[in-house]
Amino acid sequence: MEGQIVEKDEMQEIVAEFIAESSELMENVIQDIVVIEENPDEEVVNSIFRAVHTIKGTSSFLGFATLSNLAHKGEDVLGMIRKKEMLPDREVTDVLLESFDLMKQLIDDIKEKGTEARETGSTIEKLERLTKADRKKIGEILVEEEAIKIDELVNALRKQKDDPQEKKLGEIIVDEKLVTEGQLKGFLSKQKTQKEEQTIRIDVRKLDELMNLVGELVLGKNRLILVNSIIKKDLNNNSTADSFADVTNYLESITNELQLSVMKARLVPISKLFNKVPRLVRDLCGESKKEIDLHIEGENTELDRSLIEALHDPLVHIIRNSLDHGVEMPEDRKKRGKQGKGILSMKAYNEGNHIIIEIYDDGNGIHLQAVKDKVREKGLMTDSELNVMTPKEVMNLIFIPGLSTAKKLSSVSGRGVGMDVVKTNIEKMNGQVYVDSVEGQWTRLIIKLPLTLAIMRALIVKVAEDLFAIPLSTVIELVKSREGLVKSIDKNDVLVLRDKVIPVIDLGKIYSFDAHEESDGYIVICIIGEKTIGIRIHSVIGQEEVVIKPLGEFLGNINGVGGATIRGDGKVILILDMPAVVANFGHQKRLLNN
Amino acid sequence: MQTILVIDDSSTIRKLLSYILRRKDFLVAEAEDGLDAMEKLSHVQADLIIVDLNMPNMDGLEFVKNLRNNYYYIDTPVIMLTTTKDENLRRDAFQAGVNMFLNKPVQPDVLLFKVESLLKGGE
Repeated sequence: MEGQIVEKDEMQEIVAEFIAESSELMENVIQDIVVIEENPDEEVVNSIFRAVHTIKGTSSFLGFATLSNLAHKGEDVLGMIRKKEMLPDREVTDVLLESFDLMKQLIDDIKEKGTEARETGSTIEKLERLTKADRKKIGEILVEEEAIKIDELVNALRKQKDDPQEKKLGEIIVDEKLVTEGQLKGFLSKQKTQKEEQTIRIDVRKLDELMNLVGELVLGKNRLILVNSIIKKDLNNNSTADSFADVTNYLESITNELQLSVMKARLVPISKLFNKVPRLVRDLCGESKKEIDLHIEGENTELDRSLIEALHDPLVHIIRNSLDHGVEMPEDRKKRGKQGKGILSMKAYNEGNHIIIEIYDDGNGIHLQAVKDKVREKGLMTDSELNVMTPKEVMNLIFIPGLSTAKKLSSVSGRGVGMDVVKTNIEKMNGQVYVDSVEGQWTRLIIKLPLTLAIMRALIVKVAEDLFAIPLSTVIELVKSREGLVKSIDKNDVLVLRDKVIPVIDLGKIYSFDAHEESDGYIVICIIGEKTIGIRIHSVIGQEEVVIKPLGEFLGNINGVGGATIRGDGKVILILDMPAVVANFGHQKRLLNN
Repeated sequence: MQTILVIDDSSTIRKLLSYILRRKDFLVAEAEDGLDAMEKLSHVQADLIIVDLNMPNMDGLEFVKNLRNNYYYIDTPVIMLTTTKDENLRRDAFQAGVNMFLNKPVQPDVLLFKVESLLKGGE
């Protein structure tokens, strides 16, 4: 029918639009349904109804009959909730969630294969059963609440059968003046839903391209600054040099602003991720019979889109861990003098150029002795090493590969791969993760992430004849080295700084340059997670903004190197991957000791 | 060229209607709900309006009532998109000032027929 009026390529575009729109709608709907189970807010119910209604309408127009039929049945159930004829209790939301998940899969099918081939019969049957069963339900509730008598209900049901307008039972009961409309409406909580921001959809690839170009521009700007400083030296007090400096400054500030706004364009609120948590927690609680009070804070905190995607799996894992091994069963909690309902709270906030995400639970905490025993049993560390560790260092051993202290395995976590994968994933994003805990009381996991992946501030240092970039986010202090400052204890170099013993790494030794011992130079003090280390360098070049370029396929996995960057003078320098440097150092130390 | 304002909360429907109408050389403006449409009408002159019934913020019925209160739009033809068979609702919509109904799913030739006949009637 639309053959001549809508061209084929236009039709494709409409289908693409349909896929994008309905996927987004389904995302929202799945999040909202968990909300109405707790609090059947009228506005939220309406928006779910509208979304499903829209999908029904558009899919039937485009000829996706299976999807349209499923949406239609879902709409029937939602219509009854909207008219307050059905309570969105656990049973109802379970079926709705099942149907929404199925709708999402159908949309994905259409996106990938262009057709919808999926069995929907059993879900549709469940939805239908809800609408039929409910006729009795609202009546039963009214009788139970002693709002109406049994014979009044029977009467109303009979009237409903004969009613020419197919009125709903609730309406008839109100018409009969058995209850007021206000009573029927029951719950009326006015919560203003936020107005959506004005948005357009942009292909991420376009933004990536833009970000790449900005990266190149930053490199160009850095070169210009370098040339500018050379010219200044050569032409003292020359007006040409002054105007050149002006232009350079101007370009520098514009480039910085451009970089910031392109970066902002890629930022997405973390609610995209956090909104999925209530559903996850709900499902997990259902499986484990635990009870959880979930708190979410700072969901408007924004971070790079690619980080949001990469964070999904680690976050799911952390939450599963918290629920599985952290929060105890209600009866065990009461024995410990805690509330029966466990607390899980998630918080996101900005700290300088970083995003901090905290996940807290008031469960078991980390059993330090169990961690130590496990590490010893697996032969990952020796007793003497374990004995000198601070409690915090011991806690953070949970991130070592091949370690799982939970006694019982469950379907979702505790297979021994877990926290180490979380750590690896987060470090891939140039982030850090560490844990804090009080045994028997609580655990707090802290994730620290950069705002963006592509550009960062770094300290450029010289080791022997080579330059390295150290991410500035890890650097806390520079110490001028002098004779006798670095001492050797047990073949290990350490620095005593304000009564604190800090191990010192010599990059020259690790990367096997001509390691000529020099007493001058500097020690860069860095904090990585709970560890403080010093890095011995020969001189400091300065702070610079570096654009991170991957090393490419052939050089991809050099341990301790996170990437490379091009400096103003065109030279390529390596960017250190600090967590890996620290890990390497520990490894080497062990080899030396053996 | 005549301008048609399409009001629907579904971007798929808006895109679809726009394609059909642009093919017949109409200019198309889009709004995502009644409130947005009122805003658009303050700087777009529409010769005809196609509005969905069920929308967030301000629904179709509310929008038409508001529209007809504005002297400027007192006889601009309005087509309402709907799936409802509820006669009471249809009567209310007519009383509010809707000129014609168009059933969803939209049939392109029926849409164009209704649009063209309403625009001719006004001349």
